Amino acid sequence: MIRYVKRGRSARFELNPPDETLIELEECGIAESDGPVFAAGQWDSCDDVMTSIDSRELRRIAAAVRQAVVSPVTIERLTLADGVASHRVEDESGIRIWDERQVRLFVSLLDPAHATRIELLLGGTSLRDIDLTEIGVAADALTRVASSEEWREPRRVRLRPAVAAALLPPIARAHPPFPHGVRLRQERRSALVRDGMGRPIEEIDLTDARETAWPNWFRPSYRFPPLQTPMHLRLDGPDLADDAPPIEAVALAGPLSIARDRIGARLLCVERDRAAFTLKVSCSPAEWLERIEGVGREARWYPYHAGSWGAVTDAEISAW
Amino acid sequence: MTRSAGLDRSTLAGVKDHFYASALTEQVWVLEAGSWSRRERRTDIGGALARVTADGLVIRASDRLSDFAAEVDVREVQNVLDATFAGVPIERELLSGVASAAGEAAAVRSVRGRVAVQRDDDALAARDIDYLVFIDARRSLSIVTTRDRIEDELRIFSSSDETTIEVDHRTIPIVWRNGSAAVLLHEAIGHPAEHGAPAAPWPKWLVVADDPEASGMLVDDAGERVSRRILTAGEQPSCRRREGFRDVPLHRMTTLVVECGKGALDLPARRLEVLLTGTGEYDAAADSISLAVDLAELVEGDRRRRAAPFVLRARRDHLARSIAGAGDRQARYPGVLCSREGQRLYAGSIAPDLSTSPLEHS
Repeated sequence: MIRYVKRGRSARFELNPPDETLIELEECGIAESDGPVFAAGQWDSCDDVMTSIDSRELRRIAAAVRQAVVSPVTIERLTLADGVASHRVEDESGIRIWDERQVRLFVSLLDPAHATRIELLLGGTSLRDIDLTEIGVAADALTRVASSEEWREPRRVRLRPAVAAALLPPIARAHPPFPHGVRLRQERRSALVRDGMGRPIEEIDLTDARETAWPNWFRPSYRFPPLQTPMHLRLDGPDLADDAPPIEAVALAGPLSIARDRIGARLLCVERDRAAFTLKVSCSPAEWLERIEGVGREARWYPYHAGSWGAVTDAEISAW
Repeated sequence: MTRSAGLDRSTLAGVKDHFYASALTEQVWVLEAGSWSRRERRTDIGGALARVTADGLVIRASDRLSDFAAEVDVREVQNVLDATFAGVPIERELLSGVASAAGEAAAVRSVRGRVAVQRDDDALAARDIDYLVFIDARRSLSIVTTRDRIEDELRIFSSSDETTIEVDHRTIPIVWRNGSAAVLLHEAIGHPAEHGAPAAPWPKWLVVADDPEASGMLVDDAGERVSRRILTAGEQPSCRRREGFRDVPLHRMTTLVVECGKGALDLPARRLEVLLTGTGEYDAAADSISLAVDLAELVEGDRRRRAAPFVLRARRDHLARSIAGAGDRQARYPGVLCSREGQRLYAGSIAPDLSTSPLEHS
């Protein structure tokens, strides 16, 4: 029997134009797992969460996002959440207690004239981790969209960290063969060191690891069973070449499509001295890894699935 | 119910100050070796006090109803939430009746509960939530339904052929049976109406309405009285709905009702007949829809064969021009679990048989 108790406080700002809503939530729940049987519900015996959340900061950041988005691009939806939680897990090996804070921003931007939508997901352990530059770059590119392209011949593209990070969770789950010099590993954040069972997130090489070797459990909510999955993914590869590719993929233009053995994406790209365009790509995880030319050394954390680190990544891309 | 002086009635975008509470129980059952066992059970109860401010709507939510003791009569709220489902069969009894039709690798997710919303006149309006999702992993089928209809729906499952034939759905007329036209138009008319999208060139005889009363709703999840809206006339669903107390109330469909004033259903000898749909999506940016068809039959004269599942993708104006005719008799589709903005809501679907001409011609 594993017993998990979470008490938490969060604030969430949602913009569904024209409606703006701020939700301040307090909750305390318990979950029990006994073999394959799982049960969850409210827990009445919780103490109050002492940490407060300044919802004015959420509004300030939301206002800054709005300022970064200029006509004709519009915000379709924005959700910004800040939450603190105290966790307690009790099982046959003892009791583990830990606290954590997480913030997350999701925004979808729309260019109605070119039927183009981009989605950005940012996160961290403090509102200071939200990098509005990412939104500004993507919003600016969206104002300049002029065409939709599908290439026959591969061309060199630089993926911004947010784009590269989004690709890692489906690649990790697919267990593709990794080419020489490209490796995938689990690298924990300094402020998010425990998994959903309260155990340390292990820093291990996942390149050849199957599901049975994944050591950690992801528990995004007390109301659902934890999931054994790789966390905080980080890709290592060859150093970036001195000559940067002329095309940069700045954002995902819609969610990834993951079907059978292929990952499909529509990327918002900008080319030097050219208008922006969208590019449809579809490839197997193995093909994607084979086309990597270089990976930057600096990485930023993103809340895709159970966390992934995004670094500037150069690759040869075509409409595979 | 007592309301404090702090709960005034200022408005913003049609929303007023209100109190909402929900109590939901979700269970997951799996069928193994001919008997059902419960794998997951979660209960969720809580309240949300919403106030309209100069900065927008501010909602204070908690899973302890006692946190709202200063604003509402917590005991009355608790009584309303507790007084639910007397006499309704428990899941094990319900499921024992469908085990033989379910086959192996089946699972059922049931969601039951009650919501209570403070109305203008201070009374609590209560509404039950009760639906099931039946999943047949072996045939890659799932069906959203209600407990009074699950046995009937499973007959469709169990009678369908497991071998399938590939059919190019863009080159053949389609007849949307079993009320499934309401799901097609849920994506093509309902969601665009929620977004306030411009109308497509729908046939004049086609009337599509959102009818909250067909879902037993008189008051929405923001405490407002609701009414039937004609979506093909450019109206927006009147209901604001939310999955639970943690969520923002949004304009969402309740029950989509398709009526056909003068349509006539022509049945080509060779056609696809759609019985069951899967995941659907409306893309506001592209003004297009996609809808997975999980169960369909290829009809050639008297011969019927199960068609392979396919995904229909179409721009809304193309789809509108493809609508060819409709029958007279409405059917209730099992149901739709709609997941827009991350909130899963059951939506009813009622429609007559509807035919569409090949989309490659549109």
